[in-house]
Amino acid sequence: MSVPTAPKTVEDPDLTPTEPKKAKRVKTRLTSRGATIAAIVIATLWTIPVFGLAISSFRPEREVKTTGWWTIFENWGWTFDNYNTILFESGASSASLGQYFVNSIVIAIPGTIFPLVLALMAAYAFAWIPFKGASWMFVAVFALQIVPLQMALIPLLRIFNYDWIDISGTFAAVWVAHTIFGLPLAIFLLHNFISEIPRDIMEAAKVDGSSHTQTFTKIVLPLSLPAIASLAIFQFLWVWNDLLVALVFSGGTVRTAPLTQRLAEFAGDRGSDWQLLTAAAFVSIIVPLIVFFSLQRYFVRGLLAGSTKG
Amino acid sequence: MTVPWIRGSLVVVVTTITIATLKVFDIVRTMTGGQFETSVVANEMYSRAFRLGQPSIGAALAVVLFVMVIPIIIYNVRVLRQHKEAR
Repeated sequence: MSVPTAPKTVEDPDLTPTEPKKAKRVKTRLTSRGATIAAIVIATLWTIPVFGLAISSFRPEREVKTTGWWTIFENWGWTFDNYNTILFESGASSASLGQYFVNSIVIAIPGTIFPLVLALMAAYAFAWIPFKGASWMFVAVFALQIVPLQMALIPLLRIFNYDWIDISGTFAAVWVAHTIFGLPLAIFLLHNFISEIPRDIMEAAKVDGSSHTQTFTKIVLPLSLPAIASLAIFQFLWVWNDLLVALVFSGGTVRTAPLTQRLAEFAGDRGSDWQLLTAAAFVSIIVPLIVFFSLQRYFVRGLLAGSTKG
Repeated sequence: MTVPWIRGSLVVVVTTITIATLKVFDIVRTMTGGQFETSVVANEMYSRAFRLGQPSIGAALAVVLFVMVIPIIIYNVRVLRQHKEAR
């Protein structure tokens, strides 16, 4: 967000002065005053509801139900009761979001690590190990990105219910499902990144007698850290915010269901308790907010690196 | 001038969002649950297959969803092929 007078080219490593004029012109257009104003307007429209949600979640029940959050200055009053009620209070109709919060973390962390590890190895194989059928297999993986995951829900659930697997309704089922659904995009983006590693480096490693395992761990892994970081953030946010996979595979008990599922139920059960709903919603968005704001540098840069190159 | 320059990114973004919107589920389920004639294919698929005990209709709806994205898949694969040949 800068006005056109600010010389942005110096600090931006992507756009050194030696690059063609065209790029510079596009850059000026995209950072022009109009575009900046439009971006600010959109961001404001987007942020106001979240802001109101945050304020409402800290107001006492009576205030929330009788006055709007924008009148906070006339109807002053703050409380942590809402958070206390939804997180820690136990009872038949209580939310007990604390436990579901833990469940969400238990689901999201392996749900991020498993697909990343598998996708890294697959991407390396696609990029640097020539094998028969690699090209059509890559096209298949690429096409799978777009296939709706609804296609797999019923068959996958039946497989999970086989006697010798029998993991339906456990964390394992949710992990496996998220791994499967996350793999195509992860393989594609990581492949784009890994295949851009200069051939000279890979050949130098080969000449020095490095095996595929050594090349993978000593060269490919460190070089693709930016892509790994961005993909990890992306996958984590996806798993954390997911509702459909959780509904189908987690079984819905307090032992396995994630926050999103409980929140959806809660909005049905206690739909009129706005002070609790706002607090619960804020509990569920606080983790994505923290992850995004602390790591957004990697997020934006890494995704751009992978997306537009075939 | 700007639009042709970012055409590649534009196509990626438009197709990605189109697909994401076709598959929209959580918002519909949470806001209306598909009542009042607001149900979409993805939400109907979930309700039929996992709540109303009609997995066959759910499976058919999933296939409908798949058929709807096939053109996008074909287009994307062709773009990918062109990029590979150009390299």
